[in-house]
Amino acid sequence: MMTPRLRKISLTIHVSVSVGWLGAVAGFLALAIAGLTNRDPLIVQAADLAMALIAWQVIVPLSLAALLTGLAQSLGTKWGLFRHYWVVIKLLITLFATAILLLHMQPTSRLAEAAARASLSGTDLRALRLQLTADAAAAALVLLVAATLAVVKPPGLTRYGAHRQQRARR
Amino acid sequence: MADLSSNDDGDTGPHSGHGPVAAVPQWVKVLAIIAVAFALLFAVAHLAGLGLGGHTLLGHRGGTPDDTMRPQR
Repeated sequence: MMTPRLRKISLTIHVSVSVGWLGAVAGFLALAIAGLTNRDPLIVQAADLAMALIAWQVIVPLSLAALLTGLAQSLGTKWGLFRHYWVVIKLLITLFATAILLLHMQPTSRLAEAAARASLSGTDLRALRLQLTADAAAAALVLLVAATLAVVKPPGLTRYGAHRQQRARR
Repeated sequence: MADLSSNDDGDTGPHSGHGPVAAVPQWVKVLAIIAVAFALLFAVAHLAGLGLGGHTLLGHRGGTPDDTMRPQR
């Protein structure tokens, strides 16, 4: 178990990177919408390049940091990783979001490469732009659910958590 | 995973109001249904053309890279 001081430091880092992840996805979504709807090739090119930059240098590191600090926070405190439904669900959301994010890094990079090579308008590569916009919106929604779970902490012990609590009371 | 707000020292610690529950809570069931619907929507959207398409530009555009790119001004 973590000491109170270490727990507070770890929690501060976890909250910072998790909220930062959500904020970075919101920024990515704004750029994706700009790339999708704008007809000015310069703005579209800038948005495409910035999306890849934000994705690789902000979103991916923050997602991995949120996952690792969340694991540390769970395992290092009495909350545990599999004792409460909200913790398990938040872990699943983080794992799912990170996996989908990593899966979408290739199209994001390729869009940036295309933008660097040629002048594109919002109508070019429309399907890809739509997909990235929809995915970013979905990611923001899912991360908002995770943040809500973390704040509300809805009650409910898993079977494992209930079993452990009963054992501890004996 | 762990919480986003101070808890272990606060009024909503892991063992306050979180007693053993035999059945799966209602909110977990609702969230599970929403998650399944969300996953299905995600899969259908990708299969129907918004697709990951092998995660390549060609897969999304159905052509060669030169089809829609204009030369840099």
